[in-house]
Amino acid sequence: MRLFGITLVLVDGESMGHLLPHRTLALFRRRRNVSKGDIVLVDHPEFGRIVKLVAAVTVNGRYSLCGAHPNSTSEQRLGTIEGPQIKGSLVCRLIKGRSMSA
Amino acid sequence: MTNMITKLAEKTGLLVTAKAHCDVPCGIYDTGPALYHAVSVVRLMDQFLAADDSAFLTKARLVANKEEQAEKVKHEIRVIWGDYVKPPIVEKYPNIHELTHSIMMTASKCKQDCHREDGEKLVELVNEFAEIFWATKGVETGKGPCPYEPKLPVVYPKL
Repeated sequence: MRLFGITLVLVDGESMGHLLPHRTLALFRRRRNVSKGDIVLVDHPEFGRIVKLVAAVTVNGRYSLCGAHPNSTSEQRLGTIEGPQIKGSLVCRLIKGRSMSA
Repeated sequence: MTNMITKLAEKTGLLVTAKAHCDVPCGIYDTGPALYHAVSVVRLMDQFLAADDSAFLTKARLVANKEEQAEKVKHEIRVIWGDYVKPPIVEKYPNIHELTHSIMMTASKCKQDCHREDGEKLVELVNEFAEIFWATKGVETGKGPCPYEPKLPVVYPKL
């Protein structure tokens, strides 16, 4: 559910490493301009609703994504996405989760 | 606190869950495969040392398999050390880096030659690593001979 373009998100998984550990509660806001390095909420055609980093913005205006964990699904596997598939970029972490592996 | 807020947000329909999963199942680590490969190294050494010199093709295969198994030990331990071992574990078990390095060196020795004592040492070091690993999970361990040749003592989690 989105209120005033703000989405409350619970992160499920380890692929964002220490940036957004498992079970982090965070706020995402819809933004027009997203750039490399931003943490974004994405409706991915294959992987569903995911949180990833913007790895690069391609010349034709698409976005490639990556995780922050060595085992994260690779940039190649995630492919590139279009702007409208980005549902928001990270505003702040409300409650930081804990890594499952330590 | 997180749970309370999360449940409240879920009930009110305000919360969205977003996946941040990895290629491999998150958080699943086990020292079992490393021990399996370490024991296999010793078993292959035994078979190699017992084989007749005229069976050179068999011996060649045994050596190749021994090297492969030793490399797998290195891989399994490296993954746990690299992905699972974090600062709180290092703080509690300060010898973990040295132990991991010793496993790498001993596994390489097992690849280079066919000295059974190197294989036995490899199993013992991986046992030590397994004990620490299960201790970090709060799981009690036991030690007993594996129920197959070479029947060396191995560390099992008491699940």
